[in-house]
Amino acid sequence: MTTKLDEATAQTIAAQLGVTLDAEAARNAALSMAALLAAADGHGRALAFEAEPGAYPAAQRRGKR
Amino acid sequence: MSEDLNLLSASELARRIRAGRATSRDAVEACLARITGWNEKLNVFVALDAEHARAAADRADAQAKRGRFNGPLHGVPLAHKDMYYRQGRIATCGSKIRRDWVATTTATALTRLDMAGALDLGTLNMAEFAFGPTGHNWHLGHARNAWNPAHITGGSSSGSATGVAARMFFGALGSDTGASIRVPAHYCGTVGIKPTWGRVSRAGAMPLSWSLDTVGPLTRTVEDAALILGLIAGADPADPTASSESVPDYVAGLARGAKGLRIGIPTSFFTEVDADTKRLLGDAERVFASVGAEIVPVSLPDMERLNAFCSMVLSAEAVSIHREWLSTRAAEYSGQVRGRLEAGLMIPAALYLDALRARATMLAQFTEKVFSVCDLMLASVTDSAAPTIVESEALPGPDLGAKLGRFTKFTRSINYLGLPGLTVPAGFTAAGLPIGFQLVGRAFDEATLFAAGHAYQQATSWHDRVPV
Repeated sequence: MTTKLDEATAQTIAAQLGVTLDAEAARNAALSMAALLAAADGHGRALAFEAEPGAYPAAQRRGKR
Repeated sequence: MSEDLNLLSASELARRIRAGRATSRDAVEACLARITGWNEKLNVFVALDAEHARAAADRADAQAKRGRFNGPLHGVPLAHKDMYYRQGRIATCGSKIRRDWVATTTATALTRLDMAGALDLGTLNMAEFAFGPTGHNWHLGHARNAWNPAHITGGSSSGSATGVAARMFFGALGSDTGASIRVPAHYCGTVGIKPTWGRVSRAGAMPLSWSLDTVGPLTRTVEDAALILGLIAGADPADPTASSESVPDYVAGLARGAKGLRIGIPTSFFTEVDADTKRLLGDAERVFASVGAEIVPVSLPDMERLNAFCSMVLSAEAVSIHREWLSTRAAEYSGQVRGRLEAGLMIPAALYLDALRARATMLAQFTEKVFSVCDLMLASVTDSAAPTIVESEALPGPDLGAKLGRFTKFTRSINYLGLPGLTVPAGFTAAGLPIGFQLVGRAFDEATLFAAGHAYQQATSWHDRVPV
């Protein structure tokens, strides 16, 4: 991720969504998500430009026996 | 009344009731006797309605005497995870927030079981809002494993799994968003089917993550799971995501057996397990080979990537559902669930959408790589038997996600792909704790999983063991 997720950033993000995080909760949220966000960001960047969410049901039907 | 009724499967009890060789009332009394002996120790029921069940059983028996049967489960006592709404009844969803909430509709899955003649004994313990893989619940008390109450049941369908294992009822609905049917079934020594996403209506079932949630039963046998899934599956006007794919006769399909099926054994990822799990899964491979299956190695795509995408979808959708309560009633959540929800707030929309955009591609890649060489995959459910309640307690902290992620490492990728997974008991550790395996199949191909799982159970007797 290019944006560093720290305690203050976590509090700001939560506040934008109407949720108040104290310092410890914000730190926990930031730290517990850091690795996942980094991994998902890397995988997401590798996606094909054309991939789109609505394709999933068709993929299900194609994948059945 | 016969105590032996407790030992029957739901299918066998149904056959006996239909043949006049058992009564529903005797079955209910046998369950109630078992509940009296075990519920205090295992903390299975949120609400037990014995008198309602007795009255329903008497009505079922009166109908049977007249040769009238409501359906394939006529008079069979079940009980369900406390997140399936029944109009006029409290559905706590395992939470403090909904401790007094009365449902205004009835879940389609419950309605279909009612129409099939099943009885409903009451509501069962579960992880708070189905958001926990261990079976801990700080509001209702932790459910406990029937094989050793010091150990976890797994979650989130904790009461469903340990109650079926303890023979307190003949089957139970659970739900599975990342592990919540397959892991409790594995830890408690029961069968559990997580169906294909869209196979069963979610109408009237508490949501956790709409892209991942599935509804399915935990049972004593594969035959029971096939019977119950066949009754609850199919399109539903009340749930536009419920698929219109036709529902096969799963029970009739059991006769197909495992002969000639190619069963894939992963060469990586699912192999990171303890010695007991490795031994029992090896035994299962040999059983499948002995009943005519072909065992083949199968290499996998990047499963950690699938897990990361699954966690992204689950966390983002869960906090979307809970955000209002998180901003107004945060103190009423347990620390664990609150911490997980708060972490979900940190997910940027672009990353959540990336995970959804990738889903079709990932499913196509997995299907091509795995199901081009096998008909189904046999894999571990977790890396060990159930740990103790104390050692698996995960409290809020920076490592909360990692601690809990261990329990869903081998299951949540399957939710992301939307594929069906069937847990089957595979034996016991030296300490007497059960271990299961999971069979994973193509989308909408539950029938092959049932046929293979039933063939395995015809050749083994792990499912007949009863905790004492």
